Amino acid sequence: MKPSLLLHEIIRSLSPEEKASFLQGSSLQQGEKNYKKLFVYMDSVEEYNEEKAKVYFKNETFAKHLASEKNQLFHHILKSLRQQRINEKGSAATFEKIKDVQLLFEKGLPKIANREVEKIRYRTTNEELFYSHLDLIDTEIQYMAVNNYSHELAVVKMQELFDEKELILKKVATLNRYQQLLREIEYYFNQNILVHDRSKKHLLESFLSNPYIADLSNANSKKALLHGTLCRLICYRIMRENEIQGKEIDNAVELFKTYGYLIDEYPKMYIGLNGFLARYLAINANLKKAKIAIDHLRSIKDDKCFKTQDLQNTIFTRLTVYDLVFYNYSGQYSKADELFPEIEKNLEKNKKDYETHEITTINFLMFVTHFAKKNYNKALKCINEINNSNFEESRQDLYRYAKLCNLIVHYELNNTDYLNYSYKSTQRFFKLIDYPFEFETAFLKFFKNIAISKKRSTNKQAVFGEFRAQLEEVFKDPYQLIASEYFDLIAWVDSHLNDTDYATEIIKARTDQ
Amino acid sequence: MVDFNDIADLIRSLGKAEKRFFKMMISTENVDVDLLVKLFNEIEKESVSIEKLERSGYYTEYDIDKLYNLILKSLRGFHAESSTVFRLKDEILNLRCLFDKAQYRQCRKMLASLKRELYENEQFSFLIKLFDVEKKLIVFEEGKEIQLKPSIIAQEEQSIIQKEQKLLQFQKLLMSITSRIEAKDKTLLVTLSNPLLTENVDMLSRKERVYILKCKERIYSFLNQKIEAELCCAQIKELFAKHKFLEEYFLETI
Repeated sequence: MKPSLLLHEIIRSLSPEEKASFLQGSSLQQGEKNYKKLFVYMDSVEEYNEEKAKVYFKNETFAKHLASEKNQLFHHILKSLRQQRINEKGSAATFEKIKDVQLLFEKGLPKIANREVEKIRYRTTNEELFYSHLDLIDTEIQYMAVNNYSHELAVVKMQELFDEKELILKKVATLNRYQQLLREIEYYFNQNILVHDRSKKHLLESFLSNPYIADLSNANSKKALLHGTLCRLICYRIMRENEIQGKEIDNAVELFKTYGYLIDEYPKMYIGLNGFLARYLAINANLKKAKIAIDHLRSIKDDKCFKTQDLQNTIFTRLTVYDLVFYNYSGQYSKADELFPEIEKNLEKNKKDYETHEITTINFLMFVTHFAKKNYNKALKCINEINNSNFEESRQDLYRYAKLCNLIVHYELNNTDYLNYSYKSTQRFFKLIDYPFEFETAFLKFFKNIAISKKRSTNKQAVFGEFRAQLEEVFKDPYQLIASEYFDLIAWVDSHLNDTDYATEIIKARTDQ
Repeated sequence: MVDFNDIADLIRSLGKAEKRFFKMMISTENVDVDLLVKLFNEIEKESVSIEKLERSGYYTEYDIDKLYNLILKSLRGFHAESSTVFRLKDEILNLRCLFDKAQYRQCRKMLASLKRELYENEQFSFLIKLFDVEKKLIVFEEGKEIQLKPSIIAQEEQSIIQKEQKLLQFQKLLMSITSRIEAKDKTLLVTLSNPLLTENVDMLSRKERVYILKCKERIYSFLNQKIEAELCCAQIKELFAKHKFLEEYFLETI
């Protein structure tokens, strides 16, 4: 993105309070401020065009050096945003306040400086602000001489600071280890949420036996403990160990409840945890409580702590996924459909800012709704979005499933010519995968008989019947069954067996449940 | 509540330019400017006491607190450009602001350039803070290497933590040498063979090199080996001249 467009985007993303604060802050300098004029102009235009800007400012001298004005404006905006962050976020304020300590020491006011040090130390210790704590200790060590302590006292004080620093560095190192483990399991999870390869169970078991995960007493801070708990929670979630998963959810919820600063520090983890909780409650037949958990997520959208664009994006994608899963699963496709204009608008506007796996999930869920509503062309568009993404980076389980769904849509559209080509290409894709899931293999085998084979079965009903029996067998394995949570393959088969449609079969299945 | 003597000392320590900046800055704040400027002027007078201010019934404890915090804020603003550490801290906060605004690409660009600078200036503790932002950015990156990137950053962070731990060992050693000199410990010569002081300097950071030279210089001075001590001093000076950041880091501590 060109710098001017970036600047324009930032200005347009500012909230009214942020704009007011910027304008107020800029009055610190006297006289006319060109960057302020540029700010007002950029804020007023929907799309920024440099040529038009030059025409607009043709009578101003600064139009000749617009680049430098833009640069100045960018820095002033950042300065203003910094100040806002300091005013609103405790951790940022603490980081900033350490400057006071340095300034007071430099002014030769050690008594006041030390009083500030103690205030800051209280916060860094209680809220585990390790980076600021290290910064504080370094500042104290650097300016020790200003205190004019006797040699003996200085030695004692320095020794205390060294010990403190050693302890904090140990905590940072441990936290880093836990963060790395969490990142590993999250990465695996984001690609394998729905279906998991049983042959890789040993990987998860070995992950759980890692000393840091197996024994959480290795976590020497609440932050590390939270990371360790989430590692276990995700691992048990992938392994479908429902009961232990529930315990780990309780542990994580308790940590966030007891140590409120963890929400401030790890808001995305908090959002994610609410999702785990909602799903856990839903699959344990506590839909009312599950709804409360989702509604809580909806409510935090307006919370001060979650108002940044980054977090708003996360909340939007998560809520979209939960809402669509819920409506699709319960067969309320019209309600899901009502969400689409908003979803499409956001996807168009912020697509690049959403995490890849979230976009894949949303596209897949939108496909399901369109499919159930027999909007096959729109369904195909969603599937194409997934197929055009990068397999390595996307939700691999959904990417694979989308390949099969692609065939289903073409089958429903009766695209016989295209099906042949598409089937071969899908087969090639699955041949390259070292471990196709059983339901994928079964699908490819039966789909060939249903739609591709030259000796196509005349009795499709019988083939669909066999296919259903096979799927029922495969889905006895909970590792595979979960695939139907998003798109119910059996319901699709039933729609052909009973000569109904997918939506009808879903509603029937849920009523039976 | 702020101690009255603290705020009085703080105000009286301000230079002319700092006072001017404060009075300018306060006008951009949502506060009762006239009241706080009046309070500032009152406290600046040597003769004023807390009792006198309280008796006036004009100011509250809250005003004194507010004034104290605003003075510190204005000092931070006034010295923002003059200190490398302040500037780096601002840059780190800039990254957080851009990240919050979901400007990930720009954030990554600025992070890369800041990271280079932090490495050049051996600002290890700031680097640790920077990794925190970098880890958050990974999820928005594309390309085949993203799977490996978290562990690369984690390893990088571990190596920086180790560097910090090593610097801590040097600080401890230097302090112990100083104490033993104070105690006229004649066995200090043996410390010259301490593994920390015999490492291959080419493999060390410039901060570590200075620590080694400082330790040696103190030992040689104590042992009256003037030539060796002066040689160490000269090498320290040379390093300081080449790398400005060392001066800021090595304020005399003990």
